[in-house]
Amino acid sequence: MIELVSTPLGHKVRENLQYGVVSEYLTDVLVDSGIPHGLVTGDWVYIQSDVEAYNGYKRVFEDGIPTLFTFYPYQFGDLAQDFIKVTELYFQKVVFDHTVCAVHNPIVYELESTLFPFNAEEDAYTPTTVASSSNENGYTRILLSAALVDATALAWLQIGENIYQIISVTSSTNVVINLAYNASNLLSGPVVKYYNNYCINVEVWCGYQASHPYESYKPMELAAVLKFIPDENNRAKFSISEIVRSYITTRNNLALDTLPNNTDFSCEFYIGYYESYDISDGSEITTYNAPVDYYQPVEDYGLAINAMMPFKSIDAGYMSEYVGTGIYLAKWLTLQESITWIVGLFMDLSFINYGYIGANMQVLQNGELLDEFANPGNGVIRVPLTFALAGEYCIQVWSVGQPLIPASEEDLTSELTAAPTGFISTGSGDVAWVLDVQPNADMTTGSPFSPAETQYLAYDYPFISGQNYTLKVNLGVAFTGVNQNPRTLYLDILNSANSLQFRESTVSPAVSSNFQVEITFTATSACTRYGIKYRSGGGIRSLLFNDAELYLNVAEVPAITAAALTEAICITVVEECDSTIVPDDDIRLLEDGDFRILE
Amino acid sequence: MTFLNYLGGYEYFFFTASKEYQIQLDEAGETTQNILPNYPASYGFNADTIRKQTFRRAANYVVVRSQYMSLAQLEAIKFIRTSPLVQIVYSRLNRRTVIVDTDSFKTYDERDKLFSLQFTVRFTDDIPSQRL
Repeated sequence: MIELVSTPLGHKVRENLQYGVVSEYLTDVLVDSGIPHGLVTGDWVYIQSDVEAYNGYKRVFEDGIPTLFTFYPYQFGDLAQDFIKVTELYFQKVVFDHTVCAVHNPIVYELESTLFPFNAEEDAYTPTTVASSSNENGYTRILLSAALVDATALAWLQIGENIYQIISVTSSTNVVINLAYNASNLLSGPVVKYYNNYCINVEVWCGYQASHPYESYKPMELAAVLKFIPDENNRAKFSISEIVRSYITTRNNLALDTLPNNTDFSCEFYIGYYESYDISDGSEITTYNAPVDYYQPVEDYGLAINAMMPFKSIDAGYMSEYVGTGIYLAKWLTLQESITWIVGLFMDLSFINYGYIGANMQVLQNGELLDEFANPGNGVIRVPLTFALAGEYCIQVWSVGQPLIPASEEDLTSELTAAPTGFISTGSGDVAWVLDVQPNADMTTGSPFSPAETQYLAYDYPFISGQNYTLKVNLGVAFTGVNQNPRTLYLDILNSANSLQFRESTVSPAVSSNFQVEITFTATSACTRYGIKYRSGGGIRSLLFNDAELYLNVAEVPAITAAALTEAICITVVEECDSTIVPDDDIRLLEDGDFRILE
Repeated sequence: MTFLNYLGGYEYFFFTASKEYQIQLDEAGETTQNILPNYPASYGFNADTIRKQTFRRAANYVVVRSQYMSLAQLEAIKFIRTSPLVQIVYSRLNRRTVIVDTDSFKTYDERDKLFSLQFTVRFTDDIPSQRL
């Protein structure tokens, strides 16, 4: 199997530098801060010490003692590490993590295999060894101390440092290998399965996730499949920035449809990974591909920005200062500390929106509303600015507050039972619904008495992305015929193409009866329809829904307090003819200096 | 003018010092007329030329100079010379991309008290001119 070692993860540190005394605890590095450090397991710290292996961002482990902690050498994996003699270090707490990367810097993942080249899964205290060997028609027959994991002809095994292929199998402890027999052959060392043609396959997915408001402009798609052979440490370390960069367009398009979201300059990404290697069925060798594991932090895909961060920064290639959350406000994407601009001329300022999704944001100018953006989504947001009068203007972006929205229940029964409008019969399935006050289906329409599945009895509903819903269906299901297993009623949430988004099901009794299905979900932008489907194992003739009740509960939406998303940036606006186009604070520099004739 | 900074945002700066407008001739072609077919008229009193220009390729250049600015402003605006995308802005929808010269330059001397920036930009299009 493949395990994650590290993924692209940026951090924002708190400025307070704390001191820690270092000691050894078993094989771990124990840090004593002397005063409660406020850290919990899973927190990150930025460490500075005289030991290279300790420096950088590390994940914390603490065991209930408020002044002590240790740390993991890598983002994932085990805690144990070798203590290196150093007596002190300094650390800063990370206040939040993010996945916003500059696409022109490396975007690095590291994966580790448990199988290749070192087969860690078979690394046992008592390894399998060769007990004896003999001549088998010129080849070597080996008798083993324990059964092979894979005693199959044409499979590969490793004895010590050498690789051999199994020619024939007598038993799991008795095989012939493709080694010319010689009594002096050295067959020492553990015997493990060898994974021939092993590689780590990585799927790179780029685009915008389904909940992004501009997903249709840059839909998430499989951008590339990379193959890596693990190094001598069973690891593969790689960057996907070249691939993600191809989804970024460097141009200045102020007429872009998606503005204020400059979708040219951002792209979300994640990876899937699986291992592949040769397998044998005894007569033929084929390639085995393991199921794909996908890595993306929940609701936080990686976000690549059309940027390149400078060298020798604590943030490396991450845009930590330009990403905000809570009280930690995002900086604007400008190099100018104070901006001077001209009355009547157009300019724009950009910032990164990360995580504030599904809601509007407001641009305030000197505390007054200047503009409102409707759910712009993750990415680079461009704020257009033109000033009619000279003066000082401070621009800041805020979230939009909203009052509490109480929970509500909507009775949809009439839609279910009103014919012919409202519900539709759609999607895959052998049998279409007759849209009646009691919707019904002739289950012999396909092949009489064979297994049959109805189409969806579906209804288009305007679910709100991010909202929590519970849909309850109470149904009487009446049928004629013998209703064989499997008998299942499905309550599905679908998109407009009837692709499944969420599902709940219940097994139907063998007799006509009433039962209930309930589904709770958080809607995404793809959720536009709900549908009811019935599947029978066969023998059923007709199906009818009676005693129908359909309710949709909308969960309470807590009140949201408006909050700042970015720092405030102040712009001095002057008339074009104003020769003093330098902020007041800097006037002194002009007055002090040696004046040179420029023209 | 505006330029793409390395953070992924756009910087805007208004250059007020006087600029120099130039035309640089990049390339020109000539050919020699064959005077034999129309000789002696092609060589006599009413003849007009022996050599002919076949094409001239030229572009507009502007030497952009800034007004005096503070050191903080210079530290930000100097990146206009390292940006891959620089534009002259006439209005929001009317912009012209230009290519900044690739000469190395001194941004400032530690002894300086006044700071400014100068560079040359080339229009990306050639001045219209026929080929003969």
